[in-house]
Amino acid sequence: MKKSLCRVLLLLVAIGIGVGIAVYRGGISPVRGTSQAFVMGSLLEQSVWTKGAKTALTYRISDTADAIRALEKTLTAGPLPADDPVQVLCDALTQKTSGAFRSDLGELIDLWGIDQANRTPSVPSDEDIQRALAGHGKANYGAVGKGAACDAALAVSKDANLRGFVVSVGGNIVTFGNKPFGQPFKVALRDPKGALNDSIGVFTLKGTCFVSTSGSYEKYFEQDGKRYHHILDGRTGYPAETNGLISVTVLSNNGAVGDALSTACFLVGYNDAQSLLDDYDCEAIFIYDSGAVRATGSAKERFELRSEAYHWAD
Amino acid sequence: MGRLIKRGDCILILVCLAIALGVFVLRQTMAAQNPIAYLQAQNQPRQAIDLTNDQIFSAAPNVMIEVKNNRVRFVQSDCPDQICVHAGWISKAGDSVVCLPNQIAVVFESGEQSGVDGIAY
Repeated sequence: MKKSLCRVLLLLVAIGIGVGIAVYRGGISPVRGTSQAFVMGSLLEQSVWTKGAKTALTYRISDTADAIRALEKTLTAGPLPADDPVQVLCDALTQKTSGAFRSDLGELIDLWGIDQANRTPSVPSDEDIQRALAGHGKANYGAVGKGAACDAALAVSKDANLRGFVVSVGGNIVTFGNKPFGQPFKVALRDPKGALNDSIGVFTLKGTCFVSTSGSYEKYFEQDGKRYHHILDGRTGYPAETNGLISVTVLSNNGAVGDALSTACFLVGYNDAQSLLDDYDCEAIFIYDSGAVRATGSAKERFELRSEAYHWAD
Repeated sequence: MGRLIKRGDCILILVCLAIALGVFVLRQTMAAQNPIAYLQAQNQPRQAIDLTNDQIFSAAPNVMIEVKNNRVRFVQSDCPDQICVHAGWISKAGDSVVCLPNQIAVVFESGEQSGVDGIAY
C-alpha cells in the first residue's frame, strides 16, 4: 500500500517537473519575441506572442518589412488612382477640412524641407510658398503612409496563426489579438514635451486597434525665435496655427484612417475635429502646451494619465 | 480509507506548487536581473550588446556607441539632428534610442516587467 503510493507520487513529481520545464522553455506558454527593422525612413518594431515556439520561427519581421516597402513604393510613385481607398480617404478629408488637409502638397513639403533628414531647413519666401501651393501637382502621402503601413502589417500577420502582436511603424501602432490569459495590450504615449523615453500615460487596448499621433513636437526647426513644425496647412502653405495644441492621438480600427485623421484633427483643432472623428467612428486625445489634455468619446477611459505635468480638461 | 484527501496527496500538491513557484521565481528574477540590449544597424540581423563589458565601439563609420555600468548611449554621430546623441544614457527595459539618418537603433528589450508593449508617438 505504502509502496504504490510512493510510486504514484514519484510519477506525478516527474510529470510536474516536465510541465514546469515545458512552460519555462515556452513549449506551452506563448512566446514573446521582439524585433526591429528600418522602413519608410523610420523604425519598425514588432512584438509577437505566439501560440508556441514554432510560430516564432516562421513569422519574421522581414515579411512585415517587405510588405511595407512594397506599399512605400506605391505611395511614392505618384498620385494613386482616384478610386484607391487611400486616395478616397484623402479627398474626403480635403473636403471635410475645407482644404487644410491635402494629399497633393508634395511641392510645398519639398520646399519647406522639414521632413528631410540631411538638410537644414529655413523659411522659404512667401512668393515661393504661394507658387508651390498653387502647383497642386505632386502627391505626398506622408500623412497616411505609416498608418497604411500598419494596415499592411496586420494583413501579413493574419496568415501567421499568432496569439497577438504589437507593431510600431515610427510610433504608429497596431495591436491584434491578445496577450497570455486574455490580458489587454499596454501602449505608452510619448510625452510631447519630455525626453525621448518619457511617457505621459498608457493606453489599455483590446483586440485590433490602431494608435496614430500627429504633433508639432516631432519634426520642426527654429528661426528667429519662432518654431516651424512639419504639419503644413493646405489653406495657407505655412505650418498649422494651432492655439497651443501640440499633439493629437487617434484611436481607430483602420490604420490609414487613424493616421490621416490625426493630421486632419491637428489642423482643424478640437472643436471642428468632433464631427470628423464621428464620421469615421474614431476617438482622440488632444494635448496642449499648457499641460491640458482633452479626450473625445470613451478615449478617456482607455487612457491612464500618469505624468504630473499634465491634467485632464473639458 | 474514507477520507477524500490523504497525507500523500497533500505532499504531492505541495511538491507541485513548490515546482511551479520555483519556475515562476526563476523566470521573474532572470528577466529582471538581466536587461538585454540590442543593436539594430540598417536591416542587418540585430546583435546583442554585452552590458557587462564597458566599452566604446563603432556601429557605423561615424557612429560611436558607449557601454558603461549597464547603460548605453550614442557618444558621437555625424547626423544633422543629433537626436541620438542628445538622448543620453538609457538603461531601462523598453527604452530605445534611434538614429534615423544612419539607421542605427539601440533597444532595451521591453520584457513583461516593463509593463508596456509599445510606445506611440
